Amino acid sequence: MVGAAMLSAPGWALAEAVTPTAPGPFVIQMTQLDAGNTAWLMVSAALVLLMSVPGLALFYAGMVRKKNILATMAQTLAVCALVSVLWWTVGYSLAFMPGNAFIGSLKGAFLDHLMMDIRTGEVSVHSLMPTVPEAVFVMFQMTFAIITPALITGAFAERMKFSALLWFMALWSLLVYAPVAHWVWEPGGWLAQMGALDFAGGTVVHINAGIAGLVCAWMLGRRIGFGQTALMPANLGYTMIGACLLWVGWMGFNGGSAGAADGRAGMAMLVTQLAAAAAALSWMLAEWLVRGTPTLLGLCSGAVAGLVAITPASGFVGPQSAIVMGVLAGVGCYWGATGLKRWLGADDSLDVFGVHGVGGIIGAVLTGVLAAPAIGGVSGSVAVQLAGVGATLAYSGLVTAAILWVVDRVVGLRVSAQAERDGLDLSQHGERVE
Amino acid sequence: MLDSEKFAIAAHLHVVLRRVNGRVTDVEWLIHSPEYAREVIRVARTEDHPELLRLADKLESALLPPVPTPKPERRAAPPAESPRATGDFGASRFASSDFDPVVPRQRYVGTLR
Repeated sequence: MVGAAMLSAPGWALAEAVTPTAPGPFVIQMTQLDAGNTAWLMVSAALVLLMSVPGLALFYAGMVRKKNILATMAQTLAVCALVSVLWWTVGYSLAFMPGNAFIGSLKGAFLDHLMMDIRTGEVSVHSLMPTVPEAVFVMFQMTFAIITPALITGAFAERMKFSALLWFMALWSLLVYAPVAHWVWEPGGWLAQMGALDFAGGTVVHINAGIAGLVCAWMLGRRIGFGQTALMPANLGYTMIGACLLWVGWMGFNGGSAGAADGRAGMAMLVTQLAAAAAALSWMLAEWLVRGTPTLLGLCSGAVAGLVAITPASGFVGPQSAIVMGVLAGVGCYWGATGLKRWLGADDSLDVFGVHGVGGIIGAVLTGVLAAPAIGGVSGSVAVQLAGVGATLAYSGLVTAAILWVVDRVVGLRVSAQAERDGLDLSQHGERVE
Repeated sequence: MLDSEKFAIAAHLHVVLRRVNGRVTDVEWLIHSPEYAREVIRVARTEDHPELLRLADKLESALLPPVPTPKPERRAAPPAESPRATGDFGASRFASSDFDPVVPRQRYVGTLR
């Protein structure tokens, strides 16, 4: 059963050299570790962390008004710190320790089980990446757990109380992210058992964050002046730097998800680059045709859209499929951030759903169509992929709404109108950009 | 035109005016008072300084748009075709004569991208 699940779930499930006897952590001799794989995973973890801080912080900060730059950056940094600690407490355990089909166990709470004894030469590894120390696996997964809720902050930018944000993010990380990661990535998870393909987090990270962002935008309501006055981005130069950090970091996001420094990781990196480039160009062309100007923001957004779409497919497809996915994601996400956004009517401030939600759905479905057995060892199923998409949209959407309802009752979600006009930099943090 | 753009022009004029003849203006009040704006623009034009003249014209068109007068009805001439390289998509809806290429008027209203 473990073998079957490992073939159908995430990219790193295929890493081998040490054969696990059961899902979850187990102890091996340090001499059985693979130095190359370990080094690559350590670098990948750092790259993915770089995507959040400062990548995402800059990407978002450039798109808000000047009076909200520091608050937007503070949100990303706070989420990074908060989720790191929560991951240590129970987050990792709920996501990656064997439990039932829906949630892991608490056997790994506070990482008490984590083993590293230099005297006996023993170290614990996880069955999903059995050639790297479990500490590296925990760290790598932690960076995914950080960036997912951090992505949501773009949807309610410029209007949420900082205290409410902390409560929301803590609860969301444990009640939404951890279970969905377990469903898809832990071999016993019900979507993994069904054979859902999500190499690096198209469903777990992007669809999950996208729908949560949309629900946040609905429940918090529109910003003052939305749809009536121009809400000018403060500095698209920041956004470009952030987008490029995301782009570079994504090499670790997708390449690291192979769980090894091998041919599959190399292919994942190549298709990641190609999809990002194709999507940047297709978004640019779509915008040029529709709006008349190819914008820097469009190029940045297109690249991110391509990166999002290739994420679930990056260990399953080849270069030609990556170009197809990139082109479709660029156009699809442009529509998601413009036409679909108007139709939905929510003030998803920085288009979290339009880019991450739509891009994630496109990527998940196309993975079912384009997965090549020669690359990933498996074929895809559109029906199974759609089941994963639907389940994530429903669960994440509903639980996000419930969490927001509770937080609203306890501390209130939204700043006062005056605080919003003054800007969150001053009203929430007592700082400002001069 | 956005208030922030008007403010930027007024601030620029303030700086140049101060440098050229030492006059200090109230930028905030310049935006709010047409009378004050007219006087500052008049003062700026008394100096034979190209930058001041340019900014005065710019500020005038931003703050004191001419009152439209009814014109005799006539058929508008078709716009002349501009030479365009292959692959230039600039002929879309923002390419009309009243489109400000710097900041499209509806940009960022109800949408970011």
